[in-house]
Amino acid sequence: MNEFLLLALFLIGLGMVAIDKNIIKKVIGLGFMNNAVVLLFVIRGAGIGEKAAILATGTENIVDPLPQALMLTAIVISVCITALSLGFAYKLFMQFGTFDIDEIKTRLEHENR
Amino acid sequence: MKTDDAVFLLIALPLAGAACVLMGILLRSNRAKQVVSSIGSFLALGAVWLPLAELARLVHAGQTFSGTIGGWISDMGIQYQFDGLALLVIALGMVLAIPSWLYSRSLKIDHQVFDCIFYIQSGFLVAIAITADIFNLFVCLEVLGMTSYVLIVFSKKPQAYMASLSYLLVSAASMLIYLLGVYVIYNVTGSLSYTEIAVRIQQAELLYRQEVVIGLALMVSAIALRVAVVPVYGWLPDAHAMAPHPVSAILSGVLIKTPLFVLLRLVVLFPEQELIGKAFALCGGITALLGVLLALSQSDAKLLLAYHSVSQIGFIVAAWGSSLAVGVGTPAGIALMAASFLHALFHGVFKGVLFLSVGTAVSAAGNRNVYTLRGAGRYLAGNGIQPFVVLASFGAGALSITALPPWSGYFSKNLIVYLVRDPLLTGMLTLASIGTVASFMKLSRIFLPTRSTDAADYSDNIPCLATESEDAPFLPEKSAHIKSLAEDEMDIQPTRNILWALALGAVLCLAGGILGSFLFKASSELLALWIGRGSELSVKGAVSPAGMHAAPSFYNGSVLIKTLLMLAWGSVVFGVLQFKLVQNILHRIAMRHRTFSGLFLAFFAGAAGLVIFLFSF
Repeated sequence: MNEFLLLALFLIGLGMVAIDKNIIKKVIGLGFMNNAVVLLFVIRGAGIGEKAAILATGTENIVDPLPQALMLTAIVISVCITALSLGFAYKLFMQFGTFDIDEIKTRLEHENR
Repeated sequence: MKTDDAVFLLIALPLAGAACVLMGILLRSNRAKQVVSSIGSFLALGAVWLPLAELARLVHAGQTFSGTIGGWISDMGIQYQFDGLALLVIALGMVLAIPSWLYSRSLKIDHQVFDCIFYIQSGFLVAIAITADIFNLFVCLEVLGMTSYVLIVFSKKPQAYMASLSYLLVSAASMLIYLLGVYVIYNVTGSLSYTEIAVRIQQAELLYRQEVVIGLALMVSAIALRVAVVPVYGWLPDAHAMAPHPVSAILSGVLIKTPLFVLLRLVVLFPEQELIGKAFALCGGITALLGVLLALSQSDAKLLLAYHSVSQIGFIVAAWGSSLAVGVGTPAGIALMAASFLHALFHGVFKGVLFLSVGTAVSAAGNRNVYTLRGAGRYLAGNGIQPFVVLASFGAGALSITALPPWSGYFSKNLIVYLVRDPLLTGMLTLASIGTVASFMKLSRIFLPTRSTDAADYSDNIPCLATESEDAPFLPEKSAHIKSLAEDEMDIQPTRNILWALALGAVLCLAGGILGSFLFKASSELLALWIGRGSELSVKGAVSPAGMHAAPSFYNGSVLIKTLLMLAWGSVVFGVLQFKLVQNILHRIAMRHRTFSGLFLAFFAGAAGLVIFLFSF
């Protein structure tokens, strides 16, 4: 069940990145996709054991600690990507006064001729 | 210090250099700033050669360095492996970094920030080359991506922001697809390190073939996007054309090839490697041909060069794929892989030189249009740049890419065409070579001396289809938002660094051509060492040094005649291009509507195609 919900979240995000014209919505969509993947890893990792994987002797039946550690990194990267893309979006908005990616592209193409 | 630690020095030194430069920003006095940033540059670009030379010697003697970073148990920690393949990839990056960095001195930008990001990029080029862990590969790819997004926008053009943003969105989304692939593979094998995956995939393959194939296809297609083969090349031309010239050089020269050779490490873990090889070889051939066709239709000089990068990566990928298809471990496979690497290296050098020299010319002239820009030498001289050096280095690059003796491209291109046995692929590559000749005849005209009639003459030739641009088809329209290039001041300073960078590049072009067979032998040996080490990986075939292909010589009658024929056909194509009808068609191709969604559609079509292809066998 979880997997299907996450798949739905991922696809919504993908749809937003690919189809939505607004750059900000694209960035939000990217965040959705990223969260879906992060949750997928964490849920899968947590399904293995029960106890938290904290360094202590004698802890039995721990969850798989690896996916959590990986996802921590993935989240950091996602924050960087979001910040950078919003920065670009801001620059483009200052130039063109719009977030519509197709309009910006068309205008750039006309300038390029 | 253990020699193993020298491997980490290769990453640590550039990062330390970046940190130094960043700290320099905090300093008040200009003198202190200069000292600190010189120390940073020395650490990142100079000092790094010492451990590299020592490691190269040891690797060549048959040693490999591998282990787990930080001494964790192998299931948890990040594994690395420094071997022949890593050495080749690192050499590619390091050689290109120097002329690009030299040239970047004369850009009118914030040098400290630029240098910092540039050094982080060089550090991670090493990191990606030695990583043996699928998640660490993700991290390295993301960091490399992020540095290149930022480097692209240093040109401060709105087009650059747009190109960089498109690249960012597509590539970040594809990296999430890659993570899904990691998830699938981790689920099936329970490990992230290459060696463990290679062992467990054999058993897993029997039970979970579907999962393995899907996971592999997801990872491979995500990395293929970074390599920019058909159908996922769409982000490249704008990003590479709009970047500052030295960044274009490093992006085209290094950053699209590193993922390809890193992918090699990953793909050989899987039994499906031959199928992937076949798919890539075909894509490579199509890429080579399509890239040239699109390059012929461009009017922007740097965009034209960027499409040639697509085309040349097609040659590289075609040889790479053919190598996997025949088995990387077989003598033919090693030869093909070495040829692929050599072309990657040579292309890096000559495309770097081309981007720098053409970039200098268009910056000096304030005009990027191939059809209207003439007499670039005069503009260069007018701006205080020695035109002879720029022209000579452009000549070196152009002769290399069109594969004329004795320049570097002559050796590597002929080697690929000679080694690839598939007649269809050879045909596509030959056609692409002919197109390259025609395209560079077109581009070289920017250096032609001006006659007063020329400009008017060519302006008649350009078809203009869109109504908006009828009044002035090639002078960029001036709008409130965008300044045309011609109005700008020149975006580079005419310093000697430009000339040094260009001269260095031109010399490397010539050296590549002359030392071709030696380099071929060396890279074959290094690849053989990598494969010998990876005997536990499922690399097909095993080579002894005696069984390796010797480098063929291309200075015999038949190859020279072929080259002449290629030139002749190239001229014919160039002649055909002058017809108005052909120009109309090309103009339509150049002005085709490219949407952002198209990039995604192409990516998913490619990924789905790969899955179907892998399942159909």
